[in-house]
Amino acid sequence: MINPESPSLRPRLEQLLARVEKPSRYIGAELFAEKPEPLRVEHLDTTRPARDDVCSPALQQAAENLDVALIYPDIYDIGASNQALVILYAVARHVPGVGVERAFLPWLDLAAELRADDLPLCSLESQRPLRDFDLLGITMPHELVATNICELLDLSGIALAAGDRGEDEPLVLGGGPVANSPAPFAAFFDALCIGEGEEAFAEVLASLRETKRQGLSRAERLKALADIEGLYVPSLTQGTVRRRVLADFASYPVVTAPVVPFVETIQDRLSIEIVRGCARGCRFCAAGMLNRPVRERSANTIVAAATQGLARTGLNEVALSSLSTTDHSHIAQILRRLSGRYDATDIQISLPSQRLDAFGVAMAGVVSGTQKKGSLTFAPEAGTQRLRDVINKNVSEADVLGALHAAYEAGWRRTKLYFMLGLPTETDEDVVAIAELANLAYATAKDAVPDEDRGKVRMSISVAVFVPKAHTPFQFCGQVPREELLRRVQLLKAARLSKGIDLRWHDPSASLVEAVFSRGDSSLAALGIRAWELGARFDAWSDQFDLAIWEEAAGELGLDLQELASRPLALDEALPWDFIAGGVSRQYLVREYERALSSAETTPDCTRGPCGSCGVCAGSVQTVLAGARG
Amino acid sequence: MADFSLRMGFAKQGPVIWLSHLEVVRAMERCVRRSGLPYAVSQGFNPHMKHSFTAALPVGTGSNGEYMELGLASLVEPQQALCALQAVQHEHLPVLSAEYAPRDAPSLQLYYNEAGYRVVFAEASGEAGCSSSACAPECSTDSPESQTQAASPVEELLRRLHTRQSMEILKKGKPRIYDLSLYLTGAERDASDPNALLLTILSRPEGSLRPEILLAALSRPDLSLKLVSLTRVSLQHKELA
Repeated sequence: MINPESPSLRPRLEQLLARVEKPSRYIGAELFAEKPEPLRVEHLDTTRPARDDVCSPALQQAAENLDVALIYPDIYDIGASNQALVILYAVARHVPGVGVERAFLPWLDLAAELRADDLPLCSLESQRPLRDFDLLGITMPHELVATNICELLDLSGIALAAGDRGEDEPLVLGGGPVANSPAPFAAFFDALCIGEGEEAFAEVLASLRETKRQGLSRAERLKALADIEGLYVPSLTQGTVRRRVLADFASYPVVTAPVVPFVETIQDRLSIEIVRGCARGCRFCAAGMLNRPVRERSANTIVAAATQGLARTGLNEVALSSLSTTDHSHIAQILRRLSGRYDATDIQISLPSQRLDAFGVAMAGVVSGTQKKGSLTFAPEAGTQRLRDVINKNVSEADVLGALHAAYEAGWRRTKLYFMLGLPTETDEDVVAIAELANLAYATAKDAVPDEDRGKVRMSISVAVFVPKAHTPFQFCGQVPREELLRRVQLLKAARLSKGIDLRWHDPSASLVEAVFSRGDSSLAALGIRAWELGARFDAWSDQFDLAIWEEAAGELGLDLQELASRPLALDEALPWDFIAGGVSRQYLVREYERALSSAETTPDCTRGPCGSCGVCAGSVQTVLAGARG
Repeated sequence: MADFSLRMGFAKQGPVIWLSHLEVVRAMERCVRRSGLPYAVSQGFNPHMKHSFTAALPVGTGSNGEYMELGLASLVEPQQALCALQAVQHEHLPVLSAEYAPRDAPSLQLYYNEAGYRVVFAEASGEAGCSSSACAPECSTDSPESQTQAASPVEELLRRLHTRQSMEILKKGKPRIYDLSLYLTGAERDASDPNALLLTILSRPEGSLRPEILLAALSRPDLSLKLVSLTRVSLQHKELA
């Protein structure tokens, strides 16, 4: 039941749809979306005089219901399949007295139409203004999100800074990966949920429903939120905030009836998360450092969830997702069972990326059937063994070449190799070695295929720029300056790559802003706001990102982007994210940093070897494996 | 097609009129998968569901009767198939009928070559029709006489539909002339609504004409008509001379 005082703007919004690109982004009405029932006027007996002491039960209930909108700060096509949104939507619909809807940022064309027509940004399901909701939950998937947060708050008619919001404005809650280093974004949020959201979000909703029922003020509602573990309330929190970790991930229900978008989204498939966390310990990787410990779901749970999810949704692909899917201790059994069931159907099983060894390729082979049509993706990350040891990518050249040989021998004709440029200690030799490794890999691939297929061998090399991330051993390292990165790109382009290898690289400009925010402090909120005022939007879109705007904004505020991104941090320096506890310990980060830079010594994966003393496993939170890992 | 061709009738209504043809196809494929019907898949390289659809509906256009022909690997009673589909259908893409197509039936797109459309315009007066500045000259008058005496924009559009011989539209930057007598086979007022017209448009092997493009072309430059809805109300077969 939705509040009658907040009418749907659907009729007015529909008039704009004929004028925008891809209107299906904005209609909602997907399978398994919530269907908020408007409280119809006929329900109210208007023939009798109103009596203050008697309130219609329906009205009473609508007034007490907590209205929540979950928001992804990019367009529908990007956000609708985001797993944080999928999971938290399912969480919210199970909390009694809560009505949950979704919202996305409209593309530039509709945003302009909304402003021209003086219409506020609305939720997808009931198309009511977001500013009429009690709570807006915004997930932050990456560091380039600041301008989109400003845009969606502004389109909603909500004050950008939490401190400027009035009693009647919604509470704005942040979460997602970026919330682990919340300082640059804290000003936008009344509260942030740090860590895994399943349990914390349910507690937030229960608390807000209760404090709304009691009619408490904004400050009092926030005070109640601050008592929840994992909640950071910038205006109240003193001291540390402990990240939430879902200890019982293995038996936590899997979402098997997610909203099924009409629009083809970037993850246009059913996603079943089979493992949470990764203990391989790549020293640049925030996801690997933060989402510990490793917790596996059982093979039976995974197969049942995939089967049920496919039957319910009618989707034709299921992805077994995780940070390192083929590390699941029962992955071979899971893939065999699923591929047996869906063999000779139009349903595909997909793995997000391949482990760099023959086993990884064998697993990809189980689900691809006889036709190896797509491309396999591998991530050696660096060209030399020395640098791979520095980053703790425990992969040898023999592993890389062995995996590629196996892939092309098994029938694949296209592969993609991911590398990073600007890793700590990188030299020109390391850069050139990317091309050398790629050439060796390409030669290996040609050797592995029958003569008549040699012309079909394709390989692409994708080079990203290293961004130092908070909570990783490399947080202490500065980013290589942009001009120097551009020189290294040229060096790589000049190194002779075999014909047939396609080289792509990320623009270091966006990575510069990413690095500024990833290790930033609270002064950066002003930078995000100023860049938004100057017109920056959709900064994660390479065709929308404009470094000149950011430089202008930084200049006005007296900030030097390159200095912020490239400054090394002292090992004992106080850091803006020090107050976030519960992840890997500072001692571990320092130890890993020192191992990397002084001796290029590697640290083994604790799910296969000895404990690396990262400090995450404590009390109720422990590594959970479904079996022994091979 | 596969062994058995199940011809399913379905509608496209409510908010989903904004789906593209490809999005409708994907949504219907998902409905079929959910239904558990033994649909046929193509062999080899990239197995996919065997099906065909009637001609694409423009984005923003609803329909009371589209068809999808689905290949089934084994025979299912049509009524049983219909029940299975209806149990899992999307509420705005309801499955209306299911029957087997004759073995030698021509393809859906070839067969259903004539479509009826119902077009509803906003009231000629009143703010809905005047939201754009382009219509200011017609709508700025407050005199009730001028509106009752002059033909309404809908009437004028109908007159043009009856009298215009041809129209020119730009296709990929190049002008293309349509002989309307070949494509427009009917245009009349909808008796139930003074602001609605019923159009019948024939699609020919050499080309087809989209209703919203026809209406826009004939409204230019002076008719200020605001489209409220466009719905395909019928599909039929017409023998071409």
